[in-house]
Amino acid sequence: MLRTEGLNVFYDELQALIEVSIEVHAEDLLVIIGSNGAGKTTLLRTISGLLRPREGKIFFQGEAIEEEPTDRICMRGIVQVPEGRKLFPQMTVRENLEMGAYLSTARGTLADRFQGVFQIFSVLEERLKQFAGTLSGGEQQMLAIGRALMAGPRLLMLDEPTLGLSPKVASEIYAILAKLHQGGMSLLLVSQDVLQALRIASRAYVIENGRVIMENSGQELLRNPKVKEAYLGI
Amino acid sequence: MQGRQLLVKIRPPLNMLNPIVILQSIVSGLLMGGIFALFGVGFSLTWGVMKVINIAHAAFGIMASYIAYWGLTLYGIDPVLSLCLSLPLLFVTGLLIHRFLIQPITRSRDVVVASMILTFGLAIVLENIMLFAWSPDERLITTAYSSQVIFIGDIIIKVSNLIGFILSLMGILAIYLFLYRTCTGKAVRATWQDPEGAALQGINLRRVSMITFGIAIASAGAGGVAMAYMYSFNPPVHNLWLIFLFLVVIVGGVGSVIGSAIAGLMIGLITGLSGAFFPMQWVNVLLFGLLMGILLIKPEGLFKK
Ligand SMILES: Nc1ncnc2c1ncn2[C@@H]1O[C@H](COP(=O)(O)OP(=O)(O)OP(=O)(O)O)[C@@H](O)[C@H]1O
Ligand SMILES: [Mg+2]
Repeated sequence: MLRTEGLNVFYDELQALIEVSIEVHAEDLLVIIGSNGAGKTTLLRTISGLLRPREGKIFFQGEAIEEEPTDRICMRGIVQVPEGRKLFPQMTVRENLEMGAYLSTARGTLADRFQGVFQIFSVLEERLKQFAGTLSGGEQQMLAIGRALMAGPRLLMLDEPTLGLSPKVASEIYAILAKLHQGGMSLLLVSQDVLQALRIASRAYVIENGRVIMENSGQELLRNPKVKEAYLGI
Repeated sequence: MQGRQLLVKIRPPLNMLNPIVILQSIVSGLLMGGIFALFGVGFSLTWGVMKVINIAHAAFGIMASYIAYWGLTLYGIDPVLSLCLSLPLLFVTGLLIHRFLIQPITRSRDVVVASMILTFGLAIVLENIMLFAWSPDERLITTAYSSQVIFIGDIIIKVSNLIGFILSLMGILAIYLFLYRTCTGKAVRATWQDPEGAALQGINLRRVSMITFGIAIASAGAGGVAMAYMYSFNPPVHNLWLIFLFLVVIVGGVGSVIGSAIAGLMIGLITGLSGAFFPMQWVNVLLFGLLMGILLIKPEGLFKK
């Protein structure tokens, strides 16, 4: 569904991604793990068109998209829940969700979309008139995911969606992601929460210093001694 | 010298204890504040949404004043009607200027400074075009109803001033409705709160900036006509208005419509009231002392949460 080929991405002279090739199959829940500064956020930003690769290609459903602007890529159905959420703090929960559906006119009405999101995150329905900036961290993360779902994504990319959340809320979010996956959605999940992420993953990559160093099923990686040592501390 | 006239006009006789004088200066101040508010809202919109400080903002307003003046003197068209022509014209001008001047500089490292330098040049060009077309003479819009006044109790309100004020309020209301009720308007607000977050929702930032710029320039046009109803104008007068625009935006907070509107009214009120008690020089000292005070204490503006 999504394939990158030999991505080289630079910040001025600093190379953040080196020959990164990954593939997300339809109905995958692909997890990317890696320590701080490994290049995970850089990869997602490049896929969304916020950064341009110096070399390499990105294909989505067979078409090259690495030259396209972010709104075109979004129109194709690649929707990202970015690191730090990037909500609109002085807009209400309702308005934030509306912005998620900014492009979509075809697939279902706005009201259906709202209902779909409320079924997953019922807290949002109670807080429609509240400003996003005044929500708690967990609620904000739910809003960020809800906003992305409003677009009806073909591929949902999430960058550390459980950062800073309590273990309970984090587990809830993982359960929701697993459920979306079972419902047939394709997901690309970046996470530091290696144990929980790999448990729900269908496949996973490990990125270190801008390179992909391992690729396997989630279960296999959980058993891998190197992963155990480096990321799980056992 | 233009500034003196602008402010002296609203200055009633120095009779401090007379409540009528005070009320009269409050009313005059508010009427003037309406124009500050409308000019300020557009100015703060481009500043907030795309980090463009448009030094030429008021110059576009004066441009519309002249179009209204021409319409009236050459063809007898009422200034409010001439807005039907000048608003779309300025909107399109705004789109073109954005496309060919603003868009190219958004790639620079410091958009704020680059935009100031660019639009400073633009302001000079506009001013000279206006000097060429309309000469430096001061103009005044005099319609059939210009000399009419209405009395509310003992307070006198000139009909033309009232029309200018209502025009300002309608302009602000239109911008407000656009930003809070339409989908594109919400996208504009989203863009100024988080440009990258907006792009990730599929919002085309270039298109949003372009529309914002067009609307800001058009609103300056409405402000210019509202102003022309109350004060005489000539091409360089936009420099004076520009200083007040900075005042409005800094008091009201960058990119806040309601903040700018309230700040504009407030500044008009302070100017009007203090004009009743102090000599003109002191009014400005007071106003800009206020500006510096706010910059020191609450640099994000009084109305930003
Ligand atoms: N805007 C930038 N300018 C310069 N260097 C950057 C920039 N953004 C990221 N980098 C560098 O690129 C490298 C990869 O950063 P990236 O944000 O992709 O890491 P990450 O894997 O997402 O890390 P984390 O888990 O901490 O979020 C880091 O060395 C970082 O310092
Ligand atoms: Mg990151």
